[in-house]
Amino acid sequence: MTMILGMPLPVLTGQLLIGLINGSFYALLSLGLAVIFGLLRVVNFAHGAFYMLGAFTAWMLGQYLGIGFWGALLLAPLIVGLVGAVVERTMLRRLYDLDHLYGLLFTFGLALLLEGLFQHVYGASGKPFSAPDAMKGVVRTDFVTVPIYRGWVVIASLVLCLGTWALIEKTKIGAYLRAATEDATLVQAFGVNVPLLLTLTYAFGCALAGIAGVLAAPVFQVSPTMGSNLIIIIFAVVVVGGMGSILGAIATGYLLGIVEGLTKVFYPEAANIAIFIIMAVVLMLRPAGLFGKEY
Amino acid sequence: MTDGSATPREARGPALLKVRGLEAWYGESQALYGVDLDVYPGETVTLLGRNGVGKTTTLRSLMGILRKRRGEIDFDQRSILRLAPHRVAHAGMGFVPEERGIFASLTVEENLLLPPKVANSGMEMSLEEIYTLFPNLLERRHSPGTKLSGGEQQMLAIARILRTGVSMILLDEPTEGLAPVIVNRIGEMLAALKAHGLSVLLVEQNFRFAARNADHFYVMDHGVMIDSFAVAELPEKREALNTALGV
Repeated sequence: MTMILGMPLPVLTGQLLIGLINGSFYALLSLGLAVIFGLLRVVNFAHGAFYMLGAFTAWMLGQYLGIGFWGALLLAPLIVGLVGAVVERTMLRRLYDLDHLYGLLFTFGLALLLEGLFQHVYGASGKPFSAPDAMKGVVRTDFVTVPIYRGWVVIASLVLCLGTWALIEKTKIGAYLRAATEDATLVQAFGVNVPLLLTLTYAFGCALAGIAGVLAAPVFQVSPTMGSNLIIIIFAVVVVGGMGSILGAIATGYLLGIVEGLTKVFYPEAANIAIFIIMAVVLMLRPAGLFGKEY
Repeated sequence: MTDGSATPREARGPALLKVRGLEAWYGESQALYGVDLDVYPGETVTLLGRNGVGKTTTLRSLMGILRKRRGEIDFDQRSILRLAPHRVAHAGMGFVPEERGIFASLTVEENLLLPPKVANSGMEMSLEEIYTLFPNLLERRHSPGTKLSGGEQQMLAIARILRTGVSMILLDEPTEGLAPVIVNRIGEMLAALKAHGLSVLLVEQNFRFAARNADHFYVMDHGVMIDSFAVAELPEKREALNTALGV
Protein backbone atom coordinates (compact mmCIF):
# COMPACT_ATOMS: atom_id res chain seq x y z
CA MET A 1 0.00 0.00 0.00
CA THR A 2 1.28 3.48 -0.83
CA MET A 3 2.43 5.39 2.25
CA ILE A 4 2.91 9.13 2.64
CA LEU A 5 4.61 10.47 5.78
CA GLY A 6 3.98 7.12 7.43
CA MET A 7 0.26 7.15 6.60
CA PRO A 8 -1.50 4.81 4.20
CA LEU A 9 -2.64 6.88 1.19
CA PRO A 10 -6.37 5.97 1.45
CA VAL A 11 -6.42 7.15 5.08
CA LEU A 12 -4.83 10.42 4.08
CA THR A 13 -7.10 11.04 1.10
CA GLY A 14 -10.11 9.94 3.15
CA GLN A 15 -9.40 12.59 5.78
CA LEU A 16 -8.63 15.11 3.05
CA LEU A 17 -12.08 14.44 1.61
CA ILE A 18 -13.74 14.84 5.02
CA GLY A 19 -11.83 18.08 5.40
CA LEU A 20 -13.00 19.22 2.01
CA ILE A 21 -16.63 18.44 2.86
CA ASN A 22 -16.46 20.29 6.16
CA GLY A 23 -14.64 23.06 4.28
CA SER A 24 -17.54 23.23 1.82
CA PHE A 25 -19.94 24.04 4.65
CA TYR A 26 -17.47 26.45 6.26
CA ALA A 27 -17.08 28.27 2.94
CA LEU A 28 -20.82 28.54 2.22
CA LEU A 29 -21.60 29.77 5.71
CA SER A 30 -18.73 32.21 6.11
CA LEU A 31 -19.47 33.58 2.63
CA GLY A 32 -23.02 34.52 3.66
CA LEU A 33 -21.73 35.93 6.92
CA ALA A 34 -19.13 38.03 5.07
CA VAL A 35 -21.68 39.40 2.57
CA ILE A 36 -24.06 40.39 5.37
CA PHE A 37 -21.33 41.92 7.50
CA GLY A 38 -19.90 43.83 4.52
CA LEU A 39 -23.13 45.67 3.76
CA LEU A 40 -25.18 45.66 6.97
CA ARG A 41 -22.28 45.77 9.44
CA VAL A 42 -24.21 43.18 11.42
CA VAL A 43 -22.37 40.21 12.90
CA ASN A 44 -25.09 37.68 12.14
CA PHE A 45 -25.02 35.31 15.11
CA ALA A 46 -28.23 33.75 13.82
CA HIS A 47 -26.36 32.32 10.83
CA GLY A 48 -26.01 28.90 12.41
CA ALA A 49 -29.70 28.94 13.27
CA PHE A 50 -30.60 29.67 9.63
CA TYR A 51 -28.39 26.74 8.60
CA MET A 52 -30.31 24.55 11.05
CA LEU A 53 -33.58 26.03 9.77
CA GLY A 54 -32.60 25.04 6.22
CA ALA A 55 -31.96 21.45 7.27
CA PHE A 56 -35.16 21.26 9.36
CA THR A 57 -37.26 22.84 6.62
CA ALA A 58 -35.99 20.19 4.20
CA TRP A 59 -36.81 17.48 6.73
CA MET A 60 -40.29 18.90 7.40
CA LEU A 61 -41.02 19.27 3.67
CA GLY A 62 -40.28 15.58 3.32
CA GLN A 63 -42.07 14.55 6.51
CA TYR A 64 -45.31 16.50 6.05
CA LEU A 65 -45.56 17.16 2.33
CA GLY A 66 -43.64 14.23 0.89
CA ILE A 67 -41.30 16.55 -0.98
CA GLY A 68 -38.01 14.86 -1.91
CA PHE A 69 -34.44 16.04 -1.66
CA TRP A 70 -34.33 18.01 -4.90
CA GLY A 71 -37.58 19.83 -4.23
CA ALA A 72 -36.35 20.62 -0.71
CA LEU A 73 -33.02 21.85 -2.04
CA LEU A 74 -34.93 24.43 -4.05
CA LEU A 75 -37.72 25.29 -1.60
CA ALA A 76 -35.98 25.28 1.78
CA PRO A 77 -33.47 28.05 0.91
CA LEU A 78 -36.32 30.17 -0.47
CA ILE A 79 -38.26 29.72 2.77
CA VAL A 80 -35.19 30.48 4.89
CA GLY A 81 -34.48 33.55 2.73
CA LEU A 82 -38.04 34.72 3.23
CA VAL A 83 -37.75 34.30 7.01
CA GLY A 84 -34.50 36.30 6.82
CA ALA A 85 -36.23 39.05 4.84
CA VAL A 86 -39.05 39.29 7.39
CA VAL A 87 -36.56 39.38 10.27
CA GLU A 88 -34.58 42.18 8.58
CA ARG A 89 -37.65 44.18 7.60
CA THR A 90 -39.46 44.01 10.92
CA MET A 91 -36.67 43.90 13.51
CA LEU A 92 -33.02 44.06 12.45
CA ARG A 93 -33.64 47.24 10.42
CA ARG A 94 -34.48 49.17 13.59
CA LEU A 95 -30.99 48.55 14.98
CA TYR A 96 -28.86 49.99 12.15
CA ASP A 97 -28.58 53.41 13.76
CA LEU A 98 -27.49 51.96 17.09
CA ASP A 99 -24.16 50.49 18.18
CA HIS A 100 -23.19 47.32 16.24
CA LEU A 101 -23.38 45.45 19.51
CA TYR A 102 -27.18 45.58 19.36
CA GLY A 103 -27.27 43.75 16.04
CA LEU A 104 -25.03 41.08 17.50
CA LEU A 105 -27.16 40.74 20.63
CA PHE A 106 -30.37 40.61 18.62
CA THR A 107 -29.16 37.90 16.23
CA PHE A 108 -27.69 35.94 19.14
CA GLY A 109 -31.07 36.04 20.88
CA LEU A 110 -32.81 35.05 17.65
CA ALA A 111 -30.49 32.04 17.34
CA LEU A 112 -31.31 30.93 20.89
CA LEU A 113 -35.01 31.39 20.22
CA LEU A 114 -35.02 29.34 17.00
CA GLU A 115 -32.90 26.62 18.54
CA GLY A 116 -35.08 26.45 21.65
CA LEU A 117 -38.23 26.38 19.56
CA PHE A 118 -37.11 23.39 17.50
CA GLN A 119 -35.75 21.62 20.57
CA HIS A 120 -39.11 22.11 22.30
CA VAL A 121 -41.12 20.75 19.38
CA TYR A 122 -38.84 18.05 17.97
CA GLY A 123 -36.53 17.15 20.86
CA ALA A 124 -32.76 17.28 20.95
CA SER A 125 -32.04 14.05 19.11
CA GLY A 126 -31.04 14.04 15.46
CA LYS A 127 -33.43 13.17 12.66
CA PRO A 128 -32.09 11.04 9.82
CA PHE A 129 -32.37 12.51 6.35
CA SER A 130 -31.28 10.46 3.39
CA ALA A 131 -29.49 11.49 0.26
CA PRO A 132 -31.32 10.98 -3.04
CA ASP A 133 -31.20 7.34 -4.15
CA ALA A 134 -29.20 8.13 -7.27
CA MET A 135 -26.37 9.34 -5.04
CA LYS A 136 -26.18 6.57 -2.51
CA GLY A 137 -23.24 4.63 -3.93
CA VAL A 138 -19.50 5.18 -3.65
CA VAL A 139 -16.79 5.62 -6.23
CA ARG A 140 -13.74 3.52 -5.36
CA THR A 141 -10.25 3.99 -6.74
CA ASP A 142 -6.87 2.86 -5.46
CA PHE A 143 -6.23 6.15 -3.72
CA VAL A 144 -9.58 7.18 -2.37
CA THR A 145 -13.13 6.07 -1.74
CA VAL A 146 -15.65 8.84 -2.42
CA PRO A 147 -19.31 8.52 -1.46
CA ILE A 148 -21.08 10.03 -4.48
CA TYR A 149 -23.27 12.34 -2.43
CA ARG A 150 -20.32 13.84 -0.55
CA GLY A 151 -18.39 14.40 -3.75
CA TRP A 152 -21.44 16.11 -5.16
CA VAL A 153 -21.70 18.35 -2.07
CA VAL A 154 -18.13 19.57 -2.59
CA ILE A 155 -18.86 20.42 -6.22
CA ALA A 156 -22.22 22.04 -5.43
CA SER A 157 -20.63 24.19 -2.77
CA LEU A 158 -17.83 25.27 -5.11
CA VAL A 159 -20.35 26.21 -7.79
CA LEU A 160 -22.45 28.19 -5.28
CA CYS A 161 -19.41 30.01 -3.89
CA LEU A 162 -18.04 30.91 -7.32
CA GLY A 163 -21.53 31.85 -8.50
CA THR A 164 -21.96 34.19 -5.54
CA TRP A 165 -18.52 35.67 -6.15
CA ALA A 166 -19.39 36.28 -9.81
CA LEU A 167 -22.74 37.79 -8.82
CA ILE A 168 -20.98 40.28 -6.57
CA GLU A 169 -18.00 41.05 -8.79
CA LYS A 170 -19.46 40.90 -12.28
CA THR A 171 -23.07 42.07 -12.21
CA LYS A 172 -24.90 45.35 -11.82
CA ILE A 173 -26.58 44.32 -8.58
CA GLY A 174 -23.15 43.27 -7.33
CA ALA A 175 -21.82 46.72 -8.20
CA TYR A 176 -24.64 48.25 -6.13
CA LEU A 177 -23.71 45.93 -3.28
CA ARG A 178 -19.99 46.74 -3.42
CA ALA A 179 -20.66 50.47 -3.70
CA ALA A 180 -23.20 50.42 -0.86
CA THR A 181 -20.67 48.52 1.27
CA GLU A 182 -18.38 51.55 0.85
CA ASP A 183 -21.00 54.31 1.14
CA ALA A 184 -24.65 53.27 1.38
CA THR A 185 -25.90 56.85 1.79
CA LEU A 186 -24.39 57.99 -1.48
CA VAL A 187 -25.69 54.96 -3.38
CA GLN A 188 -29.17 55.77 -2.10
CA ALA A 189 -28.76 59.41 -3.12
CA PHE A 190 -28.09 58.13 -6.64
CA GLY A 191 -31.57 56.63 -6.71
CA VAL A 192 -30.91 53.05 -5.62
CA ASN A 193 -33.43 51.65 -3.16
CA VAL A 194 -30.83 50.84 -0.51
CA PRO A 195 -33.31 49.71 2.19
CA LEU A 196 -34.52 47.05 -0.26
CA LEU A 197 -30.92 46.14 -1.11
CA LEU A 198 -30.24 45.57 2.60
CA THR A 199 -33.27 43.29 2.92
CA LEU A 200 -32.30 41.30 -0.17
CA THR A 201 -28.70 40.97 0.99
CA TYR A 202 -29.71 39.67 4.41
CA ALA A 203 -32.22 37.29 2.82
CA PHE A 204 -29.59 36.08 0.36
CA GLY A 205 -27.02 35.43 3.10
CA CYS A 206 -29.62 33.51 5.11
CA ALA A 207 -30.68 31.54 2.03
CA LEU A 208 -27.04 30.52 1.49
CA ALA A 209 -26.98 29.24 5.06
CA GLY A 210 -30.25 27.45 4.31
CA ILE A 211 -28.77 25.73 1.25
CA ALA A 212 -25.78 24.65 3.33
CA GLY A 213 -28.24 23.21 5.85
CA VAL A 214 -30.08 21.16 3.23
CA LEU A 215 -26.80 19.91 1.79
CA ALA A 216 -25.61 19.01 5.28
CA ALA A 217 -28.78 17.16 6.27
CA PRO A 218 -27.82 13.79 4.69
CA VAL A 219 -24.16 14.11 5.79
CA PHE A 220 -24.80 14.91 9.42
CA GLN A 221 -28.16 14.57 11.11
CA VAL A 222 -30.89 17.15 11.36
CA SER A 223 -30.86 18.46 14.90
CA PRO A 224 -31.71 21.76 16.63
CA THR A 225 -28.12 22.26 17.79
CA MET A 226 -26.40 21.51 14.48
CA GLY A 227 -25.98 25.23 13.82
CA SER A 228 -24.63 26.31 17.17
CA ASN A 229 -22.00 23.56 16.99
CA LEU A 230 -20.77 25.08 13.76
CA ILE A 231 -21.16 28.82 14.21
CA ILE A 232 -18.10 29.27 16.43
CA ILE A 233 -15.89 27.62 13.80
CA ILE A 234 -17.49 29.78 11.11
CA PHE A 235 -16.64 32.93 13.04
CA ALA A 236 -13.06 31.70 13.33
CA VAL A 237 -13.03 31.19 9.55
CA VAL A 238 -14.32 34.71 8.94
CA VAL A 239 -11.76 36.20 11.31
CA VAL A 240 -8.89 34.26 9.68
CA GLY A 241 -10.10 35.19 6.18
CA GLY A 242 -10.64 38.84 7.03
CA MET A 243 -13.99 40.41 7.94
CA GLY A 244 -15.95 41.44 4.87
CA SER A 245 -13.69 39.82 2.28
CA ILE A 246 -15.72 37.58 -0.07
CA LEU A 247 -12.93 35.58 -1.69
CA GLY A 248 -11.16 35.44 1.68
CA ALA A 249 -14.18 33.80 3.29
CA ILE A 250 -14.47 31.20 0.53
CA ALA A 251 -10.77 30.30 0.33
CA THR A 252 -10.33 30.23 4.11
CA GLY A 253 -13.41 28.01 4.49
CA TYR A 254 -11.96 25.26 2.29
CA LEU A 255 -8.44 25.78 3.61
CA LEU A 256 -9.37 25.44 7.27
CA GLY A 257 -11.60 22.44 6.53
CA ILE A 258 -8.65 20.68 4.91
CA VAL A 259 -6.22 21.69 7.67
CA GLU A 260 -8.67 20.33 10.22
CA GLY A 261 -9.03 17.07 8.29
CA LEU A 262 -5.27 16.60 8.02
CA THR A 263 -4.77 17.38 11.70
CA LYS A 264 -7.03 14.42 12.40
CA VAL A 265 -4.54 12.19 10.57
CA PHE A 266 -1.31 13.48 11.99
CA TYR A 267 -2.26 14.71 15.46
CA PRO A 268 -5.87 13.74 16.24
CA GLU A 269 -5.75 15.25 19.73
CA ALA A 270 -5.45 18.75 18.23
CA ALA A 271 -8.11 18.36 15.52
CA ASN A 272 -10.81 20.25 17.42
CA ILE A 273 -8.63 23.22 18.24
CA ALA A 274 -6.48 23.44 15.08
CA ILE A 275 -8.69 26.15 13.59
CA PHE A 276 -8.53 28.25 16.75
CA ILE A 277 -4.75 27.96 16.97
CA ILE A 278 -4.56 29.20 13.39
CA MET A 279 -6.93 32.03 14.28
CA ALA A 280 -4.72 33.07 17.19
CA VAL A 281 -1.58 33.01 15.03
CA VAL A 282 -3.24 34.97 12.21
CA LEU A 283 -4.52 37.58 14.66
CA MET A 284 -1.01 38.03 16.01
CA LEU A 285 0.66 38.31 12.61
CA ARG A 286 -2.08 39.86 10.44
CA PRO A 287 -4.88 41.32 12.55
CA ALA A 288 -6.96 42.20 9.46
CA GLY A 289 -7.02 38.53 8.41
CA LEU A 290 -5.34 36.71 5.51
CA PHE A 291 -7.39 38.47 2.82
CA GLY A 292 -8.62 41.54 4.72
CA LYS A 293 -7.57 45.09 3.98
CA GLU A 294 -5.29 46.71 6.54
CA TYR A 295 -6.90 49.87 7.83
CA MET B 1 -21.34 87.12 -19.19
CA THR B 2 -24.37 85.17 -20.35
CA ASP B 3 -27.73 86.38 -21.62
CA GLY B 4 -29.34 84.65 -18.66
CA SER B 5 -27.76 87.02 -16.20
CA ALA B 6 -29.35 90.03 -17.90
CA THR B 7 -32.92 88.77 -17.78
CA PRO B 8 -34.73 88.60 -14.45
CA ARG B 9 -34.74 85.12 -12.92
CA GLU B 10 -38.51 84.88 -13.02
CA ALA B 11 -38.43 85.08 -16.82
CA ARG B 12 -37.06 81.52 -16.81
CA GLY B 13 -40.43 80.22 -15.63
CA PRO B 14 -41.48 78.88 -12.25
CA ALA B 15 -38.64 77.95 -9.87
CA LEU B 16 -37.40 74.39 -10.30
CA LEU B 17 -36.31 74.30 -6.68
CA LYS B 18 -38.03 76.39 -4.07
CA VAL B 19 -36.87 76.24 -0.46
CA ARG B 20 -38.59 78.16 2.34
CA GLY B 21 -37.75 78.28 6.02
CA LEU B 22 -35.70 75.10 5.92
CA GLU B 23 -34.41 74.05 9.33
CA ALA B 24 -32.27 70.98 9.89
CA TRP B 25 -30.66 69.19 12.82
CA TYR B 26 -27.74 66.85 13.39
CA GLY B 27 -29.14 64.92 16.33
CA GLU B 28 -29.94 67.60 18.90
CA SER B 29 -27.88 70.40 17.41
CA GLN B 30 -29.55 72.64 14.88
CA ALA B 31 -27.53 73.37 11.74
CA LEU B 32 -29.98 75.27 9.50
CA TYR B 33 -32.18 78.07 10.87
CA GLY B 34 -34.62 78.80 8.05
CA VAL B 35 -32.94 78.68 4.65
CA ASP B 36 -34.72 80.39 1.72
CA LEU B 37 -33.45 79.54 -1.74
CA ASP B 38 -34.64 79.39 -5.35
CA VAL B 39 -33.12 77.78 -8.40
CA TYR B 40 -34.75 78.54 -11.74
CA PRO B 41 -34.65 76.22 -14.73
CA GLY B 42 -31.30 76.26 -16.50
CA GLU B 43 -29.72 78.47 -13.86
CA THR B 44 -26.40 77.94 -12.10
CA VAL B 45 -26.70 79.11 -8.50
CA THR B 46 -23.75 79.31 -6.15
CA LEU B 47 -23.89 79.08 -2.38
CA LEU B 48 -21.08 81.11 -0.85
CA GLY B 49 -20.03 81.15 2.76
CA ARG B 50 -17.28 80.30 5.19
CA ASN B 51 -16.54 76.79 6.36
CA GLY B 52 -19.17 75.35 8.66
CA VAL B 53 -22.00 77.80 7.95
CA GLY B 54 -24.27 75.06 6.59
CA LYS B 55 -23.64 74.89 2.84
CA THR B 56 -23.01 71.14 2.66
CA THR B 57 -25.77 70.61 5.23
CA THR B 58 -28.14 72.47 2.91
CA LEU B 59 -27.33 70.10 0.03
CA ARG B 60 -27.63 67.03 2.26
CA SER B 61 -30.99 68.29 3.56
CA LEU B 62 -32.31 68.88 0.05
CA MET B 63 -31.26 65.35 -0.95
CA GLY B 64 -33.01 63.88 2.11
CA ILE B 65 -29.78 62.39 3.45
CA LEU B 66 -30.21 64.49 6.56
CA ARG B 67 -33.64 63.39 7.78
CA LYS B 68 -34.38 65.72 10.69
CA ARG B 69 -35.76 68.74 8.87
CA ARG B 70 -38.62 71.23 8.89
CA GLY B 71 -39.80 73.73 6.30
CA GLU B 72 -40.66 73.59 2.61
CA ILE B 73 -38.71 71.97 -0.20
CA ASP B 74 -40.54 72.00 -3.52
CA PHE B 75 -38.86 70.47 -6.52
CA ASP B 76 -40.59 70.68 -9.88
CA GLN B 77 -43.54 72.15 -7.92
CA ARG B 78 -43.92 69.07 -5.77
CA SER B 79 -42.91 68.73 -2.12
CA ILE B 80 -39.94 66.40 -1.65
CA LEU B 81 -39.47 66.98 2.07
CA ARG B 82 -40.89 63.61 3.09
CA LEU B 83 -39.20 61.57 0.34
CA ALA B 84 -36.37 59.10 1.02
CA PRO B 85 -33.11 60.00 -0.78
CA HIS B 86 -33.63 57.46 -3.57
CA ARG B 87 -37.06 58.93 -4.27
CA VAL B 88 -35.58 62.45 -4.38
CA ALA B 89 -33.12 61.15 -6.98
CA HIS B 90 -35.99 59.73 -9.00
CA ALA B 91 -37.68 63.13 -8.88
CA GLY B 92 -34.74 64.31 -11.01
CA MET B 93 -32.16 65.55 -8.53
CA GLY B 94 -28.52 64.52 -9.02
CA PHE B 95 -25.90 64.63 -6.26
CA VAL B 96 -22.14 65.08 -6.55
CA PRO B 97 -20.83 64.93 -2.98
CA GLU B 98 -17.90 66.61 -1.34
CA GLU B 99 -14.79 64.39 -1.72
CA ARG B 100 -16.42 63.14 -4.98
CA GLY B 101 -17.61 59.76 -3.67
CA ILE B 102 -15.75 57.58 -6.17
CA PHE B 103 -15.94 53.91 -5.18
CA ALA B 104 -12.62 52.09 -4.78
CA SER B 105 -14.08 48.62 -5.26
CA LEU B 106 -15.63 49.59 -8.60
CA THR B 107 -13.84 50.16 -11.90
CA VAL B 108 -14.07 53.54 -13.62
CA GLU B 109 -16.76 52.18 -15.92
CA GLU B 110 -18.70 50.57 -13.08
CA ASN B 111 -18.56 53.91 -11.24
CA LEU B 112 -19.85 55.61 -14.37
CA LEU B 113 -22.69 53.13 -14.81
CA LEU B 114 -23.62 52.94 -11.11
CA PRO B 115 -26.28 55.66 -10.79
CA PRO B 116 -29.46 54.29 -12.34
CA LYS B 117 -31.34 56.29 -14.96
CA VAL B 118 -33.84 58.17 -12.82
CA ALA B 119 -35.63 60.58 -15.13
CA ASN B 120 -36.20 61.63 -18.71
CA SER B 121 -35.23 65.27 -18.74
CA GLY B 122 -33.93 64.84 -22.28
CA MET B 123 -30.51 66.00 -21.06
CA GLU B 124 -29.03 62.61 -20.36
CA MET B 125 -25.80 61.66 -22.12
CA SER B 126 -24.98 58.22 -23.42
CA LEU B 127 -21.84 56.39 -22.33
CA GLU B 128 -20.34 57.08 -25.79
CA GLU B 129 -20.99 60.82 -25.49
CA ILE B 130 -19.38 60.85 -22.06
CA TYR B 131 -16.32 58.97 -23.31
CA THR B 132 -16.04 61.39 -26.24
CA LEU B 133 -16.12 64.26 -23.79
CA PHE B 134 -13.65 62.59 -21.38
CA PRO B 135 -11.23 60.42 -23.33
CA ASN B 136 -9.18 59.79 -20.15
CA LEU B 137 -12.09 57.91 -18.62
CA LEU B 138 -12.33 55.67 -21.68
CA GLU B 139 -8.62 54.92 -21.49
CA ARG B 140 -8.77 54.04 -17.78
CA ARG B 141 -12.22 52.44 -17.75
CA HIS B 142 -11.01 49.13 -16.30
CA SER B 143 -8.89 50.61 -13.47
CA PRO B 144 -10.31 51.03 -9.97
CA GLY B 145 -12.12 54.37 -9.68
CA THR B 146 -9.84 55.72 -6.98
CA LYS B 147 -6.70 55.13 -9.06
CA LEU B 148 -7.64 58.20 -11.12
CA SER B 149 -6.13 61.60 -10.36
CA GLY B 150 -8.17 64.02 -8.25
CA GLY B 151 -9.23 65.96 -11.35
CA GLU B 152 -10.22 62.82 -13.25
CA GLN B 153 -12.19 61.62 -10.22
CA GLN B 154 -14.10 64.91 -10.17
CA MET B 155 -14.87 64.57 -13.88
CA LEU B 156 -16.04 61.02 -13.25
CA ALA B 157 -18.22 62.16 -10.33
CA ILE B 158 -19.96 64.71 -12.54
CA ALA B 159 -20.03 62.56 -15.67
CA ARG B 160 -21.83 59.69 -13.94
CA ILE B 161 -24.69 62.04 -13.00
CA LEU B 162 -25.00 63.22 -16.61
CA ARG B 163 -26.14 59.73 -17.64
CA THR B 164 -29.09 59.68 -15.29
CA GLY B 165 -31.45 62.19 -16.90
CA VAL B 166 -31.72 64.49 -13.87
CA SER B 167 -32.83 68.08 -14.37
CA MET B 168 -30.77 69.49 -11.52
CA ILE B 169 -27.37 68.76 -10.00
CA LEU B 170 -26.22 69.52 -6.47
CA LEU B 171 -22.47 70.02 -6.75
CA ASP B 172 -20.44 70.23 -3.55
CA GLU B 173 -17.04 71.93 -3.86
CA PRO B 174 -15.98 70.47 -7.20
CA THR B 175 -12.69 72.39 -7.33
CA GLU B 176 -11.41 71.56 -3.86
CA GLY B 177 -7.75 70.55 -3.92
CA LEU B 178 -7.43 70.68 -7.70
CA ALA B 179 -4.74 72.40 -9.79
CA PRO B 180 -5.78 75.60 -11.66
CA VAL B 181 -5.64 73.98 -15.09
CA ILE B 182 -8.03 71.23 -13.87
CA VAL B 183 -10.28 73.86 -12.28
CA ASN B 184 -10.60 75.45 -15.72
CA ARG B 185 -11.57 72.10 -17.15
CA ILE B 186 -14.31 71.71 -14.49
CA GLY B 187 -15.48 75.22 -15.44
CA GLU B 188 -15.80 74.14 -19.08
CA MET B 189 -17.81 71.18 -17.89
CA LEU B 190 -20.19 73.42 -15.96
CA ALA B 191 -20.63 75.55 -19.06
CA ALA B 192 -21.47 72.40 -21.01
CA LEU B 193 -24.06 71.38 -18.39
CA LYS B 194 -25.61 74.80 -18.68
CA ALA B 195 -25.69 74.62 -22.46
CA HIS B 196 -27.57 71.37 -21.98
CA GLY B 197 -30.15 73.28 -19.93
CA LEU B 198 -29.34 71.66 -16.59
CA SER B 199 -29.83 73.59 -13.38
CA VAL B 200 -26.93 73.54 -10.96
CA LEU B 201 -26.74 74.34 -7.28
CA LEU B 202 -23.06 74.79 -6.57
CA VAL B 203 -21.33 75.03 -3.21
CA GLU B 204 -17.98 76.66 -3.70
CA GLN B 205 -15.16 78.22 -1.69
CA ASN B 206 -13.22 79.22 -4.79
CA PHE B 207 -14.81 82.63 -5.33
CA ARG B 208 -13.13 83.34 -8.68
CA PHE B 209 -14.38 80.03 -10.02
CA ALA B 210 -17.88 80.72 -8.75
CA ALA B 211 -17.88 84.24 -10.18
CA ARG B 212 -17.08 82.90 -13.65
CA ASN B 213 -19.68 80.16 -13.66
CA ALA B 214 -22.78 81.25 -11.75
CA ASP B 215 -25.88 83.27 -12.71
CA HIS B 216 -27.00 83.92 -9.18
CA PHE B 217 -25.42 83.91 -5.73
CA TYR B 218 -26.56 83.25 -2.20
CA VAL B 219 -24.38 84.08 0.78
CA MET B 220 -24.82 81.95 3.83
CA ASP B 221 -23.87 82.47 7.45
CA HIS B 222 -24.81 80.57 10.59
CA GLY B 223 -27.43 78.43 8.90
CA VAL B 224 -29.34 81.21 7.11
CA MET B 225 -29.04 83.16 3.85
CA ILE B 226 -27.72 86.66 4.49
CA ASP B 227 -27.62 87.88 0.89
CA SER B 228 -28.86 87.03 -2.60
CA PHE B 229 -27.85 88.74 -5.85
CA ALA B 230 -27.40 88.21 -9.59
CA VAL B 231 -23.99 87.97 -11.24
CA ALA B 232 -24.43 91.50 -12.65
CA GLU B 233 -24.43 92.91 -9.14
CA LEU B 234 -21.19 91.20 -8.29
CA PRO B 235 -18.83 94.24 -8.66
CA GLU B 236 -20.79 96.36 -6.19
CA LYS B 237 -20.99 93.43 -3.73
CA ARG B 238 -17.25 92.75 -3.70
CA GLU B 239 -16.54 94.74 -0.57
CA ALA B 240 -19.37 93.23 1.48
CA LEU B 241 -18.46 89.75 0.28
CA ASN B 242 -14.86 90.07 1.32
CA THR B 243 -16.05 90.79 4.84
CA ALA B 244 -18.67 88.02 4.85
CA LEU B 245 -16.36 85.38 3.43
CA GLY B 246 -13.26 86.51 5.27
CA VAL B 247 -11.11 86.48 2.13
